[in-house]
Amino acid sequence: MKLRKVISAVLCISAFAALTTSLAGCSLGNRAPAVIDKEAVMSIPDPENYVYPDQITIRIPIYDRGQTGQAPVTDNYWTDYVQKEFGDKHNIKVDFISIPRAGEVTKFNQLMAGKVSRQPDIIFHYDYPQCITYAKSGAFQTVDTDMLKKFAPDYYKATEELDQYTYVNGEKVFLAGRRPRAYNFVSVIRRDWVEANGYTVPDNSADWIITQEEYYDILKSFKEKKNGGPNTIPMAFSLPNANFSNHGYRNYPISAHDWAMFADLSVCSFTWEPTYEQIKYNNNLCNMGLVSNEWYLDKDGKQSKERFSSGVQGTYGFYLTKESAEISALLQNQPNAKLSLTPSVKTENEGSGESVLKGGRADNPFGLMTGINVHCKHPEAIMMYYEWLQDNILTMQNGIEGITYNMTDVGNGKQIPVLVDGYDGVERLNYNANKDMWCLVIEGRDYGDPELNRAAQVYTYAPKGYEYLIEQNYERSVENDHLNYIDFLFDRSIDSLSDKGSTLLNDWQKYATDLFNCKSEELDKKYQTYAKAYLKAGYQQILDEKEAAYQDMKANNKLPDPLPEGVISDEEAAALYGGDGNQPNITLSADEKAALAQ
Amino acid sequence: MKTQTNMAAPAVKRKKGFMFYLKRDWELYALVVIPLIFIVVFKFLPLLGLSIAFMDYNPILGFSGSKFVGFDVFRQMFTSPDFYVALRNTIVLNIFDLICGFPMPIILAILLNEITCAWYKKLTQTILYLPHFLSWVIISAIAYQLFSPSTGIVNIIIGAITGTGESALIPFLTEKWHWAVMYILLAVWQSMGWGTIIYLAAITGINSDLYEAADIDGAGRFGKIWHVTLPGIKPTIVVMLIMALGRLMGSNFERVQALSNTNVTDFSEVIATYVYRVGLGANKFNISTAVGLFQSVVGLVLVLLSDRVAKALGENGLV
Repeated sequence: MKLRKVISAVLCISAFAALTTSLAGCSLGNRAPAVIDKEAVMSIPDPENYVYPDQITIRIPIYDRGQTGQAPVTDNYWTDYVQKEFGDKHNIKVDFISIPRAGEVTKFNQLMAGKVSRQPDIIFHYDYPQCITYAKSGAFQTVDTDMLKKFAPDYYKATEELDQYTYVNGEKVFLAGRRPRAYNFVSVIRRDWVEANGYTVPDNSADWIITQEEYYDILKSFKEKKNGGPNTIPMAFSLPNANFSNHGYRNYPISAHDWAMFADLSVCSFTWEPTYEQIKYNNNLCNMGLVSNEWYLDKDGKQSKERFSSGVQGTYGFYLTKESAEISALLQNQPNAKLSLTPSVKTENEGSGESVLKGGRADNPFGLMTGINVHCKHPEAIMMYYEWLQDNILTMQNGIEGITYNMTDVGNGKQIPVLVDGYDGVERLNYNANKDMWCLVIEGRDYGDPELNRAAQVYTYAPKGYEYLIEQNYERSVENDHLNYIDFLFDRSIDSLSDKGSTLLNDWQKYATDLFNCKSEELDKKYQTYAKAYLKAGYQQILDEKEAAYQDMKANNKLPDPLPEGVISDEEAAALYGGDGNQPNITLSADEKAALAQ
Repeated sequence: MKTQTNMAAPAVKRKKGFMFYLKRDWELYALVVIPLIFIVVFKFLPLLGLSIAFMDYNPILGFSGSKFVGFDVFRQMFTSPDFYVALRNTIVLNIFDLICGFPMPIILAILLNEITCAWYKKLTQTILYLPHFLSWVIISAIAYQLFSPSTGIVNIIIGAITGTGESALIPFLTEKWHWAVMYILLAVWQSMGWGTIIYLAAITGINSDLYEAADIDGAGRFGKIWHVTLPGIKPTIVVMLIMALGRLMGSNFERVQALSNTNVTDFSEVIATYVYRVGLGANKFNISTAVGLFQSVVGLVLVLLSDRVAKALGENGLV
């Protein structure tokens, strides 16, 4: 009796297990990569007017930024427009898949782990290392350049100069979006406070260049004179993330080696000398009371924004938009508030005794990086979509003339489209002028003429009366262009970076909180301890992997040629600085490294 | 009762098999199948996902494509110092949670039970229940406003009382030891009212004759509480305690995430936040699955153990 029970129980369980595994197995579909018959695809005549005999579907992911008061991102006037103008013409059904902007990697991973027939046909990200990680995990198919030239000739031509960034391990896997220059991120200071305290600000703040000591003095005067009331906070400051700028303390020019090892916004180069100097500077700011006491509670800059808007904070950095709530709130609280760009601050090159302007991080030359899903059966249809976006960019960015935009004179008989403020009809553009639809091919407006582009920025982003912020920012960017250089881009994935990145970010934020807040005499000792712990927690692994990758790229002549302005070869740097420029401050001893390897 | 079934059941069972009952009561069996399917689909099928913990899991390759690595992931987990910090914090915070949080609803229920003015009792109960309905995000936002060292009202009041006139600058939420205390107290505040419900129900179930008998025996208020009320709700207390012990390894992600800041991560990193950070932050699904599995297994063991202990002490237990 008992035996029979046991047997039946075992049978039941195994049947259940067999059933469930087979369920899980078959529900996900065939996971073999799609096979593309290149010859058949290349024999398609006249791609621009090609009609598929049987309807095909392409699935395009689109960012959902959770903006209130907007139509659903996957179903609105403009998605219908795409279907009508592009899809119906070719007998393609265009499905949009919403991707939450925060948590996009998780969502893409979820989609890719699911049923093949429900996966998006393309996968994208703004962060280059993440794109390489996708590529390395086998998410993408190779992009055939001949096919791209045939099905998306205009797009190909427009992005040809970005071609060099689209290869991973020698294979072309990315479709790059262009990134025209943008000038709407501005750092501002309360001009009225500066002047009230007896300092002069040039009319054009692009010419305002001072030393670090002078800048300190201005900030200190805000606090002493209490320009914003008893709770005046001179400077905007919040919890740093992995992208911790230390350009002011890097040598200029920097050696290619240091550039490759430490210029990276996905992990803080905590142990590097310039980072230490920047930490010391921030510690000084905290100790002098020039920033909020509770800056580390401000994880997303919201408190900083509130303080600036209410008129108690002296500086602030933000993306200017036509409706910038910060400015309107500030003017409501303090109608006499005046703004100027923050001064450019000069810092010293190590040991030279002379302060110079250092510049900062240049934006990548590309915008969104897209890969075609390894399961996508019709890569040519994706290319056709890119071509269509490229050719219809004016409409996608501005909508319909006379309804959502008007052509406006900007001088010299030139015209640009300017959006109608607050248009609320059915043809209304989605959030940020349909950006999340056309970002596949371009990041902003580009009219092929610097003058027009500058005008477009002013008309697009500047609130009334604050056009000068964008104009001066533009001017400063042009003047300092040669000082800025992009971060180093490896042509392969640095695995330890994606493995350890989030742990190191967590550690870095913890250490930063303590290091900025501690007494200055404790700083060095604490920094030493933390730096060792940081190396052991995974940064050493990242450095080792980067070093090997860099040396390999260098030996195989795969470094960018020419090097960007501001970067010099290791040999030149050795001659210039005698050694290797900025050295890492803290390293692990041989014993510690050996212990770590175990 | 036991002997009764023993006598009756075998005689019937030998004659009539499972099919007999199935035929006779098929409607009832059909009804039971519905929740059974629900449980299988939503509770058992997802268990297959646990296989992630034994794989070098890559979502793009899927279950079939990812490599099986045995216990490698667990080895990785047990060698990570971060994991031990999270484990330590989880256990220590939960033990204090239990010590401070568990008796509070009982005490409160007894106090409420002693209130005779009906409207006052109802009002108090309602007020006490309210915090339960606030999310931790809201609670933490309020707490940070109230307890901020330089601008929080609590510090300003303390400063005024002690006569310095300025803010007292006590780092209630920004120094790890203070934070740990606040973390516990806020939870006690949030959950004690709601926790009284089940005890109040148990108290209602106590036979009022017992109170009368106690009166006659000359017991005062405390005597009645000690000798009647508490023994009356003892089984409930034991069941609740067993369930609370099962949660000793668990952690409330929302609560920790909302309340923590970078100055207290030494204490505030618990298993839930660790799993989130490693699993979703770094896309190491296998490690977070392994940690989750470990956590559940320990939780199960704890429940079974406490159940045994309860039974040994002569209580009913859960299973």
